[in-house]
Amino acid sequence: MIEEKGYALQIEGLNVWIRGKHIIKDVGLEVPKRRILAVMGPSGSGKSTLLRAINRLIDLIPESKVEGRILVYGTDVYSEDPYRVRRLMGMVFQTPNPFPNMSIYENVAIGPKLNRLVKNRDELNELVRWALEKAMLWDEVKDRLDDLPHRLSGGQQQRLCLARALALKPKLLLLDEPTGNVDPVNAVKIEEALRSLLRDLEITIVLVTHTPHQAVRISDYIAFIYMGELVEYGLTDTIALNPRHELTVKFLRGEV
Amino acid sequence: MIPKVDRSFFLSLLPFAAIIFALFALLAYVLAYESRPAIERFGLSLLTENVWKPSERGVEFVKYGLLAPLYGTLVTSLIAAAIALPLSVATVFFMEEMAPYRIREFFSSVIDLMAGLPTIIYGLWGLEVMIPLLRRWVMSPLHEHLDFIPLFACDPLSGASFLAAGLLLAVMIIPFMHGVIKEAYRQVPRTYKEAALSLGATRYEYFRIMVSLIRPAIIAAVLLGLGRAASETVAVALVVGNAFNISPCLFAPGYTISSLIANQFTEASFFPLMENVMFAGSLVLLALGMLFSGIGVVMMRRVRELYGR
Repeated sequence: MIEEKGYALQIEGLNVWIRGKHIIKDVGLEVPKRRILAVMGPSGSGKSTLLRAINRLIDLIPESKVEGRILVYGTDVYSEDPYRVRRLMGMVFQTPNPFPNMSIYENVAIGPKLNRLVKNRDELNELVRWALEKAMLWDEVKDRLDDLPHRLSGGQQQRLCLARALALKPKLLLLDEPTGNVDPVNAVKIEEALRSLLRDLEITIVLVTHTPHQAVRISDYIAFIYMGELVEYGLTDTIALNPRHELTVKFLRGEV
Repeated sequence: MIPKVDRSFFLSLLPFAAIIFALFALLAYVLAYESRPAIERFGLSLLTENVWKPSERGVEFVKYGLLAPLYGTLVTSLIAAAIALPLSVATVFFMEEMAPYRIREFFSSVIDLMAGLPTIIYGLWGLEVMIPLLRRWVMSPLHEHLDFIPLFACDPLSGASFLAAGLLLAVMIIPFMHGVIKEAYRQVPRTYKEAALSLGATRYEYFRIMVSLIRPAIIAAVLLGLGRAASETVAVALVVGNAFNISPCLFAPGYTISSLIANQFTEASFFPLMENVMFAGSLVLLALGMLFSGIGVVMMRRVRELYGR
């Protein structure tokens, strides 16, 4: 029933335990297609775990347990093979993590290669270029695609990781504090890139951030998570102007 | 400059550190010094000819060439590394990625323990258990049915052979190579593993990415493993057959430099130049070992640079 409403992401009654510790407590929310959801909250509130529950990277964590239901564009994440599920999504991590042994080109090309998205070299070249352009990195690296990524600055590396994720043509893009370890100029570039993605593509973005400013600046919806509980969820404007919960007010003021 | 208070402590440690280097220098010097008569007499033919003609009558009657033991050393080490590499890599991946945590730690320690066992144990096991089984179930059937392939062309007489030595060496270097690869694998930050999986990699594709991430460590493990295999002595002497033999056939008996020295050194003093020839052989081993370890160490450093911890 709910599958037909056209949501990009639906989470119902999600509970996550890691080594017996209750990390995510009964979280439920729905994000329409082609929107940005910002998940905000202080460090250690379970934001990253929520993200990893969506693309099942949580499977990597020993002694983790997930209950509830997550649908991504109608696909039930926990009743499919994890690698199939992950191919619907791309992820950018807190610390830039391009593969250090692969060239800039290879870093972007690896996803399409794994997923057999392209038929030949030309298509791959085209896709790599497209992804780097979307990540606003193409102009800076087009002459040195064969360099190893450690020659790039941290912010460039992070945009390379964005390109790597985009090259999969994901329907859902997950970002785990992507600007947390990046200088302000690059942070702005990444935010711009995200905004322009929404204009051009069929893509939905879930952005985890611990800075309320970023959440308010670029998102359509905000989910405020505190100690594993979804304190408040709604349209960004509503939450920014009329937060209902006392904790949300405090967080927006930078007091939590 | 070292602060004054620390100076005496520093100076008291210095001799100990210096002794290690002095010992190594002395060792290399003795090897070179003792090999010199043999090298002067036989020159390069010491390495390119397969002759072993000791004589008590005098220097002019003896002739030595180490080609057969050199060949045996290379062949058995390569067999060992070729078998040990896939097994080590597969074991590391299986243990680190698929086995439950407790099982992983237990078996990991068992493998580490195996690396420290006295090598004579492996030798006896190889001689008493492995060779009869190998001869009965592997060598004889292969020889019977596939004797047109040069590798299997000869009759496995006693079973002591290049293959037996290579296999035993593989068993002996697996724990060591496993250890090197495991350490590197654990150094790969989790964020790369997450990145690979987030791209929708299957286990196999993920495995390939991980292998590519630790490739320098794998090369290092192979080289260090080769070095170990080449220098292993007693266990090999028990199973290699000890014959001056150069043959493409895996079932033929052979020699390695180390096993040659172990077998013949006690009698070497009766024959002119034989001791010197053995020193020359160990000089070759030293050179090979240093080359392999050298490259191996450089590779390990690259792993540390990449994932720096």
